[in-house]
Amino acid sequence: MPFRGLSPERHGAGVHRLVRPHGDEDEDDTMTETTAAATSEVISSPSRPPPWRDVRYLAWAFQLAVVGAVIAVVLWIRNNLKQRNFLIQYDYLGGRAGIPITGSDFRGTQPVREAVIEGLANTGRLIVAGVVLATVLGTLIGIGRLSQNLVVRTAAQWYVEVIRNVPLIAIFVIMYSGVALNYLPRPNVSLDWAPVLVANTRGVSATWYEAGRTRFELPGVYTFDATANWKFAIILVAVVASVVAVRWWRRRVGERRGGTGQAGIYSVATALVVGVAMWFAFGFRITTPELDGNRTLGGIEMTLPFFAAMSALVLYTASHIAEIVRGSIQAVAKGQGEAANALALSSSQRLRFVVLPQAMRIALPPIGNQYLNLAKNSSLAAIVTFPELTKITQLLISASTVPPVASLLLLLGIYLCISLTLSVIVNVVNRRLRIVER
Amino acid sequence: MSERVGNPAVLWLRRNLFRSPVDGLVTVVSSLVVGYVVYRALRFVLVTGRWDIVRVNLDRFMIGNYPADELWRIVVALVGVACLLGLAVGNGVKRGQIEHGRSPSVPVVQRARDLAARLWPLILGLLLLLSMAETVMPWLLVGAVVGAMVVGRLVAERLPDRLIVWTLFGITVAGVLLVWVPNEPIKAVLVGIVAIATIGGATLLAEPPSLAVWLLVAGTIGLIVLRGDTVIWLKVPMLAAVALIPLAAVVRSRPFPVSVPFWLVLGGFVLSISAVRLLTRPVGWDGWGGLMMNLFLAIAGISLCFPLGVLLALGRQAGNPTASLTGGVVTAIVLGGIPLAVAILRGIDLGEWMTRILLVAALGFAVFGFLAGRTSTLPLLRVVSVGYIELIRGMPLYVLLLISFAALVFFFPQDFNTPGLVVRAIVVFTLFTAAYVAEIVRGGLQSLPKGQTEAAQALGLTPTRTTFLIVLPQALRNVIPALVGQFISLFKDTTLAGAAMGFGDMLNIGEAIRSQEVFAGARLIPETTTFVMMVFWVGCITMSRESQRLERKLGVGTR
Repeated sequence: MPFRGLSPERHGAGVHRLVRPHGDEDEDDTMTETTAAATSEVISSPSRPPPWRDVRYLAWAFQLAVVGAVIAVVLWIRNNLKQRNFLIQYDYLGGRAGIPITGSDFRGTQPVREAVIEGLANTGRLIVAGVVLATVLGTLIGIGRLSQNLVVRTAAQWYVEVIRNVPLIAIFVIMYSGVALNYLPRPNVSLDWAPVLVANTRGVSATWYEAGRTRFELPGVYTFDATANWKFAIILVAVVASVVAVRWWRRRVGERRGGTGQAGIYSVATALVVGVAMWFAFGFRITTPELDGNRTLGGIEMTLPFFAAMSALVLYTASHIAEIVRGSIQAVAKGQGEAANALALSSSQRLRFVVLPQAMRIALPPIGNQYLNLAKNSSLAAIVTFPELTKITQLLISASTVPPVASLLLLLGIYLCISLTLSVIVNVVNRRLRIVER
Repeated sequence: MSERVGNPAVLWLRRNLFRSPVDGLVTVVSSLVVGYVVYRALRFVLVTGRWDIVRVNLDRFMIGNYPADELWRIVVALVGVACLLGLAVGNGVKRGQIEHGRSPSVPVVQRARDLAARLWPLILGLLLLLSMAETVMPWLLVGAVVGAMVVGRLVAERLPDRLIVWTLFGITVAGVLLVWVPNEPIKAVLVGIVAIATIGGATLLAEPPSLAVWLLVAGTIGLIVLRGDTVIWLKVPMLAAVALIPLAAVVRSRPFPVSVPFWLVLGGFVLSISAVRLLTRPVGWDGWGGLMMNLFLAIAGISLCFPLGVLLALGRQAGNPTASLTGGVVTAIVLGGIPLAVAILRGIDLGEWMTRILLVAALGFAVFGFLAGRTSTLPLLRVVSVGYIELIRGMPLYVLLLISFAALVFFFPQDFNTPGLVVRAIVVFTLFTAAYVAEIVRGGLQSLPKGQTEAAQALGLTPTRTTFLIVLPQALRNVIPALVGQFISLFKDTTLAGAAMGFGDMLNIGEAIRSQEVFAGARLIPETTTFVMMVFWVGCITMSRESQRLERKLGVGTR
């Protein structure tokens, strides 16, 4: 049936590959009458078809029409906005915000710009915490799904099957209204797992680091007041940089002398030395939460909305990451594991040197996509009243201190930047891994 | 280790739970954790949960505030759609039998057991829902739907194809007439004639069939959405699209095709549009709610996004299939970002600067497109497709819904009759899902061996025919499971619409219910939300299991 249109006389159209058919029956009839000689003449003759039947022109005309239509729609929208006097201006960013932000010392008299930055910081916290925890949990569950232990395997399977098949908002609502507000006890009967975790209806506190501020000063030029988080980031960067340098050096040594140059041991040692040294140099301490009457002292305190939003994002993303991890471990060709067995590698060596490196390469692109999804899904934290970017924009709009169109477009733009940045990082990592592959 | 023989139970325990001391420890610890979670969940479900809020409001969870007098409309629509589904399944079975030979007959008990193993979440969920019902009506409804499906399947399996085509033709025309007759007799006759002419014309044209169907569907949906006192200049092209098909059919008359699948698709679309019309007639869109709303949004989103998604995928694949133009988007954003930053920093009217930003961005697109797509035949088209796909995929759906709720009005002229919330939500879901469907279809296009295109060209097919008759049918068949996955995620995402726009979808209607006098202040959010999660879980897990089954059956990746 699909070939109904292919009546024998149409075969002649084959030589006219460059010519678009235009359904004109007369033309087809003449085609039927053309003999083989005439067709071969068409092939040999260099004369082009007229422009309105030449696909090269038609293609460009079509494309220009599409682009023109896109531009026309945008201009039309712009014109409509102008008619209503909705100018897309961003001078409102300097105006008074007029809203308080829970969980921070932001005051309504501060400008809108700072409210947006505060929201961006909260979104960033959510994304960073979510990515780290979801990766850990997802990997554990993904490996658990392949475990030989019946309990672990079944539990992991049900976790994945349940969480993946319910709406994300429902998880947010359950974590906030069901767990955070209904399940957590009042302060006087707190869930007390000190010194690791103390949780009650006022918030959840966990073990964390703390450090005073350190001032980096280039006299007269620049001063930088580093908070604990900034200093932690500096430590991380320093550790990574020194490990990369040491690895490179040991690899060179190894190439010269033969062998591995013991790059692994050297890197671990470097990381430990640099990390510990800087930890103490910056005056870092571990702080643990403790219950003092009705108040929780010490530790890092998470507000309930943050706790709910973070755990919902982590639970949801982890279920997807678990599937990816399981799939990629299973996707490593079976012969690889058998070859490792034949070489008498122990089961841990088999995992470490043969299966996991290959599985990681398969898993990374889709896991990167999950990070992107997590970043976009963080906008749902607005539903549990966590003051991240979306919620702050909503609050600003309803306080009518900002124009809706401009501020929502700005919001969209910021999310686009976050996504594109993340996707660039993911692509770079992927490309680096692919080059290593042979 | 040494004793291989022994009590089988002990052996089983050792193999599955206590392989080694560490394994035993893992078993004990994980059992404790799992046991605690299960204990809390069971305690909530069986002891502490107040499920009367769900039992009393079951109908509102399902259909929202749909008027009780008009319930027959839902019954008719559901039974019609179920009958068509049954026909489709039966026809599939029949074609399978023709292709692979009749499979050996299976005893009824065995078949029932297989069905239960396949559909147990759905069956359990339905029984749970029905057990909460206070009247016999829901039982009858479910019975009627299942019955219609079974009858449809048996009919499709037993009757010859020609008769089924006529049955479908009859059903379709009847569906159209049923919807239009009640109020406006003259209009009804006119629409009936147009419907018959259109359906007949589409089948006669039917080449490529999908094109005719899409034209028809687009035209009809447009007419429905834009009914009443809406802009004439949007209506005219729609009417033209609907009217042109029969006209074209007359010009190039062809024999009446006896293809059941084609008729199933066409009849399905016409019938579902009729069903929507039937359901919206008394209350309009905004009287919908509950699960009905979620399902409708998801189905509308996935079916409407399809033409756009396929076009975007084709646009992205046009020419050189390996070169990626993501870089074009980045270039354009970087280039366009410079005037944007200038405008923001200096506080200049961005609307004024929009043209400049666009020009620079378009220039970036064009330059990059020229550089990267020199081997491509349609570089500009690719740039537009890639730009659309990547932009949409970088945006959160929730924010898009917020924009369509709060700001979309301002994008239209002042005298424009802005569509209602539901239509706006559908538009957002359509535009959003199109980008993801485009990527899925692109995967299908890439999976197709190049020999297929070359063979089609060797047969003298034009590029358009190659695409629509050779490439797309095979590519789409390969991506059916992925499309089901997209549908599942869209179905889950429909709950976002309620949260962003505040209409009564299933999750949001809990809000209204909790503020009822009886339940006010009782803080029953966990109960209603758990119930909604349960319903969604049943739907999604059933679909995903069926799609895995389909994947195995189609042999994707093994061929």
